[in-house]
Amino acid sequence: MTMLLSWLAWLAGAVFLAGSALRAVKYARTPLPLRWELYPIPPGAAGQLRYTLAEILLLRGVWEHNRKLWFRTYPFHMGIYLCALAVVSLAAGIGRFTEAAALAGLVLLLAGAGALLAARLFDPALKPYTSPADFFHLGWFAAAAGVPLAAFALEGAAPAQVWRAVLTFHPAPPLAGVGAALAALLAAYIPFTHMAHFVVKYFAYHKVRWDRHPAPAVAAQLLYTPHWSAPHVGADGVKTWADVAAANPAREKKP
Amino acid sequence: MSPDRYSALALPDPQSPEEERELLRAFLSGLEKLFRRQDNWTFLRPLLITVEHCVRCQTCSEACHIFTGSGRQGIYRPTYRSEILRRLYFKYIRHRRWQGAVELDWSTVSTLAELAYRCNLCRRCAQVCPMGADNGLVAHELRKLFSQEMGIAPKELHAAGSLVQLRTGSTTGMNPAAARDNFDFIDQEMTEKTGIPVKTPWDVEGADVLLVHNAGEVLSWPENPGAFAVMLTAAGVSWTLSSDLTAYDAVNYGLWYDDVQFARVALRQIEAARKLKVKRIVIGECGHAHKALTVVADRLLPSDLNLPRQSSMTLMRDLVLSGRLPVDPARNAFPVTLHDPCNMTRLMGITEPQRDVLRAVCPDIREMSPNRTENYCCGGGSGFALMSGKAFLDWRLEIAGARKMEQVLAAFAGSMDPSIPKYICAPCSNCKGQFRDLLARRGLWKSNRIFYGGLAELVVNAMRDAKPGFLEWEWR
Repeated sequence: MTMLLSWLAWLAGAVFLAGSALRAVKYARTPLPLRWELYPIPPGAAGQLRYTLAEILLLRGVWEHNRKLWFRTYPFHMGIYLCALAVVSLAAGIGRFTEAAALAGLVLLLAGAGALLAARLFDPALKPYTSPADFFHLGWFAAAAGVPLAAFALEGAAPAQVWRAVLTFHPAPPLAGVGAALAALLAAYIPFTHMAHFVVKYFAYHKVRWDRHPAPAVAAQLLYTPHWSAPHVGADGVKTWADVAAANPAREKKP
Repeated sequence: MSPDRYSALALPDPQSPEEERELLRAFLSGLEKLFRRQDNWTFLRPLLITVEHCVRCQTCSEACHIFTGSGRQGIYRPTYRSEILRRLYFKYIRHRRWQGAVELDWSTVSTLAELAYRCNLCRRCAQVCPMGADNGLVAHELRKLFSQEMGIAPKELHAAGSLVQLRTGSTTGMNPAAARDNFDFIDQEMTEKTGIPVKTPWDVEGADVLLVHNAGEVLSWPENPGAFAVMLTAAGVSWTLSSDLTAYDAVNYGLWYDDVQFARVALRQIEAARKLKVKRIVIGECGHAHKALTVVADRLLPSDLNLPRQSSMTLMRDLVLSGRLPVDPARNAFPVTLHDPCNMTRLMGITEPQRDVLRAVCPDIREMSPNRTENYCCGGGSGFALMSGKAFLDWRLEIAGARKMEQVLAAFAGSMDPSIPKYICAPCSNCKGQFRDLLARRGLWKSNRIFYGGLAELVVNAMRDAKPGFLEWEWR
């Protein structure tokens, strides 16, 4: 069982990385769109970096435009960051910081997931827009944070110690092991859902909203063959985009 | 079937189950194409980002002037139509479960078609989205699906819009000969009014500037192209108009609903400029024409067609601030507020040149709040100022334009007395059309002397070399 859990954790980490990379590749491979920028665009690379860091670390956009949500989603995201930080810092050996970050992260994550779940259940603006998948995801986060905390309370299993044990193929107490499994499976699942926005935001900002590069080559895309059916388009399955754009059916004489 | 009591499309209901099935089949076919690179390379990337990653947190709702202007009616949330599309996408394209229930029937399809025309495409919602999702784009893409696959579009934009432009040269139906006649008349008017002899040059090879106006100005507000002719003549600019098909009308309605029509018009406008070997194209006071020709068309253009394009805002700034047009701001001694057309500001980042000009020619400027890139749309954007539909005019004046009118009234607070003439400077033809209708609906010209017009008119009204009194303060 110990081996199984450990392999699961390492595999989940690999799937997380591979899944995130796959999602990035998927978006990178979408055709270069027409320019569709949105202002203001932070000036220069430093300005864009500052903006991005404020978004990631402070969720500035939510703070400015949806304060009520920020108080729910900030603990949630900060909980994830702290848990991730704790796992990464395990490599440097367990210290007070790692344990504190893990515990604080789990508490914040549980609180945030609970608050978001409550909002999704009771806020009339959010409830109609919440799918079964959303409840499932938030419930999973709550469980992945709550079970390790319960293990800490009932089994005395400090979360960082549990993760270290799991990652180094050592046994973990039963409830703590369940918590680790839940977290591992969640990590593997995230890249295949809308929760992978940490990958996609790069494309949303840098490859759409802030991308005002004037003349990249779309020549290959002009050779794509459109299949739209409306008569005015004049697509016949053979004509390319360039052909269709060059045509002017409005001026063509009817036979 | 409309989700509210208004209609932009006046779609007839299917008369038989077979007809309904055929409509649904066509819709599904269009939905598939919307997510295929061959068919929708133009916007696939931002569309996928939005449909797959919007978390429906509703942050965008409060940014939307239509949602808030409607008294926060649920169907006007930016996420409402997107959520229907998202569920259809996951159910019928990705075949995923648990993403929310949706039924594909005529009610759903016709609701989506109408709701695609309850958004001004101003993208204020996208500006505040923490995910980088763009629910304004969803409205654009739905319009495209309906137009390019099902041939469904408002008649004002398509049958009487872009098709007419591609056939006659202008959405107004003006052919080149009629356009020249109209400009001859405008030249005479301008010469008489300003004392500056004006003769609009046509098809001048090698001119520095090819000026392209929204041809609607010629018919509705001829003083605006007239003011440009006065400015360019007085400043000694080498300029011309083109009589080529679509090139004497800067509009490009395809920007709002159809990528194919968009590309056709843009390519012809640019081709006319290349033919004349002009050094640059300057776009008159038309917001969507700015964005269409300068930004959105950019990547469609092969390098030999990628000619320099310039905003008339920066041209006017250069002429006024360089002293080539000496001005006396005292001639504009009345309160002026500046409306920021979304296409120029939020979607192109042009916020300061028009303010530089205003500061030079007007002593009493009242900024609206919020302004610049955070402005509110006038409610006429994305073609709505042209559309009447079934009670659609009521919708755009009472709901879409509500926030803008609040801003205007706040800007002029303390000066509402009718003895004080007030001027909304709207350097965009569509916005002017919306302001005309908004002010008329609320009686604000008659009761409070709130007028509207472009920026060029204010410049000419302040020009020392022109006879005073260019602005006539006559309602139209």
